[in-house]
Amino acid sequence: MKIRAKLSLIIIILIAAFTAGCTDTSLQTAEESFITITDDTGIKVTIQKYPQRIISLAPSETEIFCALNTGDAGISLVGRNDYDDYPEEILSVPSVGGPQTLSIESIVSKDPNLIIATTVSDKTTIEQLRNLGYPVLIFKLNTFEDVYRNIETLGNALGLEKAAEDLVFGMKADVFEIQGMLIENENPKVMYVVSASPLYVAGNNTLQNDMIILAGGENIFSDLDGYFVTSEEAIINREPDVIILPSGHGSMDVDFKGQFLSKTELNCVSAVKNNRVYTVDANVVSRPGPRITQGLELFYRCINGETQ
Amino acid sequence: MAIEVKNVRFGYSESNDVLNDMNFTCHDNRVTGIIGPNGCGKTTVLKVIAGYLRPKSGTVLYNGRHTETLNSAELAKLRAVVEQSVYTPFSFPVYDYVMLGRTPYQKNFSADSEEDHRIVTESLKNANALSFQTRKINELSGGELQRVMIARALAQEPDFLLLDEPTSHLDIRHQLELMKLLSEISREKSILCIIHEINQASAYCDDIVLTKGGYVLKEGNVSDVLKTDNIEDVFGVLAMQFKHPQGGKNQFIFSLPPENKSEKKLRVHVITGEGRGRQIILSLKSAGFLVTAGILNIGDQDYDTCMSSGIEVVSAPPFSRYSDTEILKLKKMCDCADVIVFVATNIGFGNLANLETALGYMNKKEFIFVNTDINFKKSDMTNGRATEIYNHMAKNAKVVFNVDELLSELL
Amino acid sequence: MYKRRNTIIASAGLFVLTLIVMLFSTGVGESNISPQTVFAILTDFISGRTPFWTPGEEVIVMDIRLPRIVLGALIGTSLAISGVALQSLFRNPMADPYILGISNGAALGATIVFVYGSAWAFSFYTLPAMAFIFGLSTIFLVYRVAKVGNQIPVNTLLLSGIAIAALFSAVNSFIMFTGGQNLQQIMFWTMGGLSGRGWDYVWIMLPFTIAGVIIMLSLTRQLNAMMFGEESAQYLGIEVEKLKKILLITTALITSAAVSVSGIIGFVGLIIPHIVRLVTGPDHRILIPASIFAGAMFIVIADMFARIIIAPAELPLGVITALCGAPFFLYLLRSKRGEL
Repeated sequence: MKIRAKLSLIIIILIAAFTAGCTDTSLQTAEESFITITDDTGIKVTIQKYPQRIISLAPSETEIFCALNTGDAGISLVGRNDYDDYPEEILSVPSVGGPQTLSIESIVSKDPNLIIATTVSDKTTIEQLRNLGYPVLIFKLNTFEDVYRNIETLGNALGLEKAAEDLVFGMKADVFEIQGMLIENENPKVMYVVSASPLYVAGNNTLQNDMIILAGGENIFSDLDGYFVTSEEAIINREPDVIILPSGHGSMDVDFKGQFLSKTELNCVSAVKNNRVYTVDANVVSRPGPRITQGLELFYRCINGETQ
Repeated sequence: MAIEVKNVRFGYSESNDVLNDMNFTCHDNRVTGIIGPNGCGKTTVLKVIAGYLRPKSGTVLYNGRHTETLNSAELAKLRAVVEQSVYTPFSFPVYDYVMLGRTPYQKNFSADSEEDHRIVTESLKNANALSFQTRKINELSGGELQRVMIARALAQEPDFLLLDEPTSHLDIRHQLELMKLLSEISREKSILCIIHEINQASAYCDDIVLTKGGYVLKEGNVSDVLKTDNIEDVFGVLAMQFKHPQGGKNQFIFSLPPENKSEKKLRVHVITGEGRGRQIILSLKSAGFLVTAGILNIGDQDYDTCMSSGIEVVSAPPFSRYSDTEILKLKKMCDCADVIVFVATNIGFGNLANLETALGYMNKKEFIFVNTDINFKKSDMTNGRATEIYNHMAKNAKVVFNVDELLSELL
Repeated sequence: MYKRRNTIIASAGLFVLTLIVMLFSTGVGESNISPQTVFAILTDFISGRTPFWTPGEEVIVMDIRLPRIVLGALIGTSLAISGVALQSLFRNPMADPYILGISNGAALGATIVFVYGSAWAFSFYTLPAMAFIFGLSTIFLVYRVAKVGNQIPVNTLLLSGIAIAALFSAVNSFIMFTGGQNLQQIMFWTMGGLSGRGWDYVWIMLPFTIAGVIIMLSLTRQLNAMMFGEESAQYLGIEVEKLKKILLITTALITSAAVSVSGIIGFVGLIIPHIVRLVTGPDHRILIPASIFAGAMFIVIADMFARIIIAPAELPLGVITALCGAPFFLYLLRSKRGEL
């Protein structure tokens, strides 16, 4: 294993040296042409300085990459995944599979020099890619802070530190602005429903939990971590003032609101009684990319009754 | 009241028939035994009679009623079946197992009636199973289980009891007890029973159905059917018949027939007695020799064997000294014979003539002395005369020690 | 030895016990509602007293807890008696209600709804309806494959059940894999649960359970006879082929109904018959009534734990049934070895 890793490293160095030799007039030393980045799983990943051919294995990574790669740095996305839909231009990039159905062959055939993924991506495939010598960065994306960190790390890896800094600054400014806006009531009780059957809700340490808090609300399910299935009883017991549902996930167009409201036993909940059950664009509020500030704005509007 | 089996044909597959054309009747209040070699369709015909298997053609009639016109419950009131064995992974109490016999009489949701309980207890008593009625069915020994199965069958209050080799898993005492039990039951019910053991069939059955190759070879009264030649036909063994000391039923001893047959129709005369020559006589006969025997006292085991197998014998009254007429007859037979076989027996003054005659033919004919394991001196009750002749024979005649040697000598 | 009086006494006792368990379970949940309040709400329609409780509390007790507890009892009963019947029919202690592939069929139906459901008007009844139809079709298919002439040899039935279950589960995996969405929902459904099931589901399940209970109670003697083999049963005057059909159709209907409303709740149909049998012995005249109540109690208690262990989140019911059921079963098996 060790020998093979060394061998592949040598090969990469040789290739790097060769390509570098083609573009630059002066030969650079190996040390200078590589950087080491620690990803969110604690693994040190050595990547070429700077990678040009990128593959994204998650829609959020695709969005972040596209938001950073606005200039003319010569970096391009050579592979995406099935669920990517934003920004629309990237639909012309060939896909390498869904999150659990990644095709290792089509990834390898694109000859990437950096692969970006999230903790949700298929671990076996990632392990295999790493063994083959491809650098893979894995990002954990639960909160706003995670997204900022992701943007900065990717900026470092791509040599787009400035763009990353600007992007994060802009997002933080947006958040700050929303936080400064008027609040209708103090700490309204809010819940975010991921799916109506079973009743999946967002607990603490989730993107939507952050959005609820930043928008001035209080998540009624913040006593448990992550997403989980809960009961109607718990909803009635915790009396939410505002309920937010997504407009389906991915390509699915499911009427979650209709399903949710068909549970007649929930009619006694004040959010239902006061007609404060809202639908928001699922991709905007649940994809941990640069658009989360838009998602936050949607949450703000729901919580403060500025939408229908 | 009778079970009539008419032209029954049955096979487990389309092309292959196990039963070709079965015809027999199982009469009222009698124990009818079905006997036949392995694979001749005994169990199959029982299952057809019981209504579990449907014949390809032919009919089974219970008291004149066609089984096809009877539903399961009606049939279950007419006949009960005791299978070869019962297996269950569940521990079911014996009493409740016997109560299952009442199923054809009970309605859904109803409780067991007083009468049901009375009949179950009586059945357990009649089957000698009352003592273990509280035990679990999967904890019983083979003999106990067999009796419990019979008790369940009796609880069905059937007219006919069908049993498939009920003694096959039992030790000898349990076998005899069971057969006795069946005889007792047959006073009130008719029994049809597949039996493996021919002597038990002969001792306990009233009628016998002898089957082979999907046909019935013989059916009728036990003494008419269970005869040496029928047994030899069906099973391909040599059967020696004798009377059971108790009750006088026919009993049999079996041996394998010789592997080779004689081409020349040689005439062999066997001088023997005390049952020592039975197997020799039957083997010679079955190997194709023309066998005669004598002089034998009437009632001697060898005499019985010869009689039941149709062998010509010079006989003498029991416990008497051979007369001159009989000795003359013997000599005549020996003159006709190509070979004389002498089988060593105890010799007294009564049968000394046999030995002396044999001695006379020692050099005249082909002579073979079969030296059984007797001690010449001890067997001699003639003050030394017999010992003298024996020693002479042992020294000068062709000596063999058993049937196989004799046969290889003659073939 | 079987005594009818004992059965009646035991059944009455178990019935009362089941009611107590259900009542107790109604008082337990995420929200703290006092037992007095719960009792007052439950008896409200008789006593007609002025409510001193909030409307929310009434909804929680009457429209959330009570229907799922009643539904749990119905499902427990259905799965338990199906298990008893099939163990007798197959003379195999390993038999359970899902042995002929109902669960795999129903799961396929459910997966289709989860993955392609958006294409149709997704109503709450689409899922149970599809699961029911697929579960029943599986049995029908298995039955048709196994049928030889007018007979259904039990071993062929088992084997075709295994083969068709494998086929359906492969198709199921294929759809899940290629569809790639709602995997979590599918998984949660597969592990079974009563979360969010209201009175509608109770009314769906009730006729099946009642019919199943009546049919099984009427067949107790026949089931006893079947334990000793089909041939033996035939000799006792039982129309074996007819009985087999009745048992298959009954268990298929009630199991499919149970799966369609609650997903695949494992272990109940397998262990409840065994646990009851260890106590009562294998006589179906007591085994069936005892299983009716034991199954009901087991699910009600298991669901109670599913609701409260990690509240406000819920565990899949199948996880609890296996988690409590398996060790208890192992304990019984060790302490009363060989007395199945």
